[in-house]
Amino acid sequence: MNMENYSLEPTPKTPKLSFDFKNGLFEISGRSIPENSIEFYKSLMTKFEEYILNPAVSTHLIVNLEYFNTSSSKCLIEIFRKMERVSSNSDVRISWFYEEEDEDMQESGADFKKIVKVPIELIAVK
Amino acid sequence: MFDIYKKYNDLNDFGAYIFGFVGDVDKIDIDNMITFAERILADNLRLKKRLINILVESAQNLKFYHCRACDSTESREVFIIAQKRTDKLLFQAGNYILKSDIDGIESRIKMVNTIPKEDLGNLYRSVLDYGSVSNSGGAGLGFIDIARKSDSPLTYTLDKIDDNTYFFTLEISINI
Repeated sequence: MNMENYSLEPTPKTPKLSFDFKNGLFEISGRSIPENSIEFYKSLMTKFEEYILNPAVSTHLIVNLEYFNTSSSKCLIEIFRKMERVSSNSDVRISWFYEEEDEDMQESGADFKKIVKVPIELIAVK
Repeated sequence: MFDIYKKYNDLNDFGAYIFGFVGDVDKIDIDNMITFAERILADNLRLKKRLINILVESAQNLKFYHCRACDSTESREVFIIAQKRTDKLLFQAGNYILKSDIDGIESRIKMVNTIPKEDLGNLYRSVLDYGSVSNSGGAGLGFIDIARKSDSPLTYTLDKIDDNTYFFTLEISINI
């Protein structure tokens, strides 16, 4: 597994992306509210396709978002779909963090959990 | 004759100001409005998050429809207002739209207003699961998401500008 890691620093409109492909440790955190989410996530999607071919033994994706827009939600579902594909060769889990009182973010996590076929753990943070 | 500044001032006159903007569509500063909302609603995380989500989604809707009307109107002005009243937060967004876009917007609003709140979640998940993303980056989820986060039916007004162009004002409220 010699893939280079993929990282982006957060901005007021885009999240931190930290994808350690060697160890299968992924993180999306902060705000994901770009006007064109597809463009923002495009490079990550390409890298992810490469990872699917030869994943790490286990793959853990942490999602810890403060805000995200609906066009980002379509990109997130696409990332989760890729996690489903990874799951045939890797032990996959997704952790969805939300602030304890943030019922909308909890509901969003539950929405994804109902759709996606890999385990999504909803984790409340105080 | 329609005057966006008069409309903005008329609408912005009833509650405690959270944030407001009227001016060129390219000068909308979402980050700044988020900062204001976070400061003013710091003690209520649910309200704060809900308002900011509605702001983000509405501003992107507004830009999309406004830009489609840019060729037929010289005006580049839009407005966004959030204010706090005794029992609710009121959010209003106004932009020029093409007459030809009205049917599509009206049918989306009518649909989300007609569907019971509990079923909006099913619709949202179904579009999320099977819907596609348009070239503009829109996912067809915007109005559904706004309706899920609103505590009253979405309301709107249309002011006729000319045969091809209208001014569209969307109103969303969240219970405190």
